[in-house]
Amino acid sequence: METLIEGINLVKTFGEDGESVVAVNDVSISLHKGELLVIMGESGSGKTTLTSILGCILKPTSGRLIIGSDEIDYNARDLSIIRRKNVGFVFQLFNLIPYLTAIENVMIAMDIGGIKKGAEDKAMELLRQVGLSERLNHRPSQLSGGEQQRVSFARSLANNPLAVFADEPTANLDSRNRASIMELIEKLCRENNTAFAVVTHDPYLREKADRVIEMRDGKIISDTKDS
Amino acid sequence: MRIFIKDMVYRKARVLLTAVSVACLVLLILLMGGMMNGLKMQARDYVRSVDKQAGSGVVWISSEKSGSTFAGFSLLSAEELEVLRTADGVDKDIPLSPLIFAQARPIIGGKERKAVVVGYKQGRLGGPSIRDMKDPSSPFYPIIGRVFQPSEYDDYRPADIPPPEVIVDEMTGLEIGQTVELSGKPLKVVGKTKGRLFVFDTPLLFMDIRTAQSTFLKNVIYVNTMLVKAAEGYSEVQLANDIKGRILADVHTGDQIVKIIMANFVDEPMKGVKALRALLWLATGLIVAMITYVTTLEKSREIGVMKAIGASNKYIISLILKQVVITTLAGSIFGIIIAIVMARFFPIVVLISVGEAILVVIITMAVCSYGGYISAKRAAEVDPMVAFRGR
Repeated sequence: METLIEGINLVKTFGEDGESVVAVNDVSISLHKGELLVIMGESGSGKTTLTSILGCILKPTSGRLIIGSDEIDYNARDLSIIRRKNVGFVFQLFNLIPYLTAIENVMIAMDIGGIKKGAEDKAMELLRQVGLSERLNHRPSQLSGGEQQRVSFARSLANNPLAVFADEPTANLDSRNRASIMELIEKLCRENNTAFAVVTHDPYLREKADRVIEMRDGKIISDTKDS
Repeated sequence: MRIFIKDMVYRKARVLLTAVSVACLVLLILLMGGMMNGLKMQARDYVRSVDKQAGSGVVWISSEKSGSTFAGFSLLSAEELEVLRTADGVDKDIPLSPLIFAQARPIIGGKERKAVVVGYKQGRLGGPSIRDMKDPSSPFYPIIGRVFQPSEYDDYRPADIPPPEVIVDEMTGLEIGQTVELSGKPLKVVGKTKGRLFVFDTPLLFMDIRTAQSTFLKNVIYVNTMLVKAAEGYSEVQLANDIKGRILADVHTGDQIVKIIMANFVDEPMKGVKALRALLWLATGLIVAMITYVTTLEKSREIGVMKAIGASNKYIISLILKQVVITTLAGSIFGIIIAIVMARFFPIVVLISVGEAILVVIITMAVCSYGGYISAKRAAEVDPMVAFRGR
């Protein structure tokens, strides 16, 4: 499988020398095209830190990150362009813009990238894909938690990313919504052939995942390939 | 999609508060500027009217080192003035015009009021003439009622006292037929001018020079200024220099007189107002910067999310700056509208010019945009990791 994102010997330390915490400890990981990767681990094991580094939000203390065929130069002034072009994010708290409608929340990702033409059509198509064709003009406050998270997934795919990173996307949802979001993740991954790295403990997704990684104390303790 | 407008609508209370704050400060800045303009206009008005009366080229002569008619106390004797009659460059068609221009405290409507006594010889330079009663192009037009009856002689005989009559400005509230008490003597109002005011809305009381001398100067036959007009082929500067060479006197052109009035009556008292205006601009910038900063703190999660999904610092800054510009512009325009309305009802003359209003908007926009930019830059520093954190 084509490798899209590769982290080599990634280390992330927080704090000063005396009281420093190693959140990610010499981790090497790769993410492949169309792959559904589940990252598991106890709280504080470094899952979010690792996904943040892979998604170019967090700069590692040491190590290398290769996205596509380019190694990331952390001295470059703004990593936003790399994020915009290559990755999508889905957060635990949905994080939709409260004053924008569902369709506008998807379009904003394209607006940030300077894409105006066809943005509305694409946003409509993505919302259809996540099952929200009827809720295009609803604000986040008018949507349920599950619906907000669906908008969030549509937004993450707006700029045709190589990979989508989802950080415990069902943590704030009830069991019914949780199940439907997990099914949606699998569907989006397969239909769009986009890599998904999902931090979750959900058994359904664990079962459906191509790979499951388990972390402890900042290290990958197991990397299980689907049979 | 206009995200910044949707955000402004969402946070309309905050936007309104900012715009109203800007409007209030722009209102104060404009009113202060308008007051200064009003004072400048009033400082120029009388001198320009006299210049217009002569056609142009009026030279103002007052006693030596008095600082000029308007700035200090000046007395010129009739003997000294004889010299001026024969001076080269003086237009002989316009007779030498004696003038008394002095601040007084007449009793108007039973109350002591501030006023300026203008004593002159009717038909010469210095105040309204019969022509001003009917000719709209004349400098002191309109005169409601009539002009005062002039003294009988051309010279300064003590016995030559005309009927005690005065032309007042309508701002005094006096009607024709009522009286003004000046130095204990009643003067009958026979005519009214419209908007003939000296600085700080001080009404002008036009009267015959002999009336002014007999009341205000206790019958001392002195004048404090002489007005002459430069003859054709002579400039007023040239004439002023010629006169300076012949007599010991302060000789000024109309432009110089205006500058002296400005320096003494406008610029000096307005120094504090100018400083206050600068402080108000600073306050406007600070208010906008503070409100923008507080708003961006409140929005730090939104900003963090935008950054996480790929928004550059430039995108965030431009988003905030657009809001600052629109809010400030709306506030400035609102402030201008209120200022224009309030200027009509203000107790002193306030002149708000289009140029000044535009300048105030430009400076306010620049100051507020700078304040907003500083806040926006801070906002752009929000760590996109906030998007991952809990509430």
